[in-house]
Amino acid sequence: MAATGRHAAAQDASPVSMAGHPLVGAWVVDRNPDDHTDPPTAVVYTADGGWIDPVLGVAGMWRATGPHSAEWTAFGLVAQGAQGYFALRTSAEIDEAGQTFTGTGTVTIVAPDGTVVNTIAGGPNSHGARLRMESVEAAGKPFTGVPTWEPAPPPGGTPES
Amino acid sequence: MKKSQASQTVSRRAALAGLGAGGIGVALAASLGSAAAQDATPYPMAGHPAIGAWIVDRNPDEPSFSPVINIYTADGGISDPIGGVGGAWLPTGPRTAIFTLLGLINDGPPGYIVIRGTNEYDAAGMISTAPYVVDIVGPDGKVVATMRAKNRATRLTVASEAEGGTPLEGVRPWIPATPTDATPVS
Repeated sequence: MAATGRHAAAQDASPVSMAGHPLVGAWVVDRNPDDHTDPPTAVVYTADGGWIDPVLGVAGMWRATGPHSAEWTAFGLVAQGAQGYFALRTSAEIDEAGQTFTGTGTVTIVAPDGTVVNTIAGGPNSHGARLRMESVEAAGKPFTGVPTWEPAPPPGGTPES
Repeated sequence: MKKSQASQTVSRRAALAGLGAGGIGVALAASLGSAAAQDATPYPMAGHPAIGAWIVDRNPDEPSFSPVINIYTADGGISDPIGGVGGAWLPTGPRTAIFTLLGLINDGPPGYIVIRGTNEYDAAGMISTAPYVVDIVGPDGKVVATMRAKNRATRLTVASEAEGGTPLEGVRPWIPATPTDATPVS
């Protein structure tokens, strides 16, 4: 029984071992490198298949599809649930060094009543950079791997006259 | 994907409504897990059906509740980045586990919530149900409210891109509550 549940989530579903997979760890993720207003986020891929983004409040599961590839499904609320949820389904390729990945996938937005509102597919690739440990001597420097961005002005910030 | 940053604390209204979690995250989960879980349990955590991601319906009898997602790690941690809650779990049998979650309250009188419950997993390891108790505790350490409820959780499985455009299995439709300030005053 114990095995059944876990297998359903990750390991039996994958012909590739998750142990030692290069995706395991923490990543700084640029969800859309073509959008310079989009801030990065951080995602933790656990060795037992967990996918956790505490920055955006999204979580899910991942599984290995090859020695340098994986796919994941994640769930998050839209407007704290007032406007439904989104399902993120992504596949990714990790480079040989295990330091970057490129992902592509779909985002499906579902209303609270279960109606699919929109699906965004085939968009720009996401990009991940492994979050590396830095010593205290690195204080005062930007964090490695975090891209720069230009925050979009707030909707009400443009004068009307 | 665009999404506003999630609050790292729990709304008091959500807590009072019987929230399934509160939010400290992985660090707390890991520390609690190593201290409380692995040394204390006669049941192995490895291979336990609790491990994985769960779409949690905090109270199936409450149609306005949106779901949250709980990640149970193999080392005894629980993380709920949607609810902004973290904690620990401990196997009590091959198909049962207890959990404790902690979260801060971010509106109204300050304090924190503690959720304590017992998960029971079906034979396939795909569904879990849990009676649980929510305690709201003030900064002075006094319990100001206690609620009981029962949740139902569905295992989240990884889907392929080809399934894009379909809702996630296990997510129950809900009716968002009307915001308090949306009610006309006159």
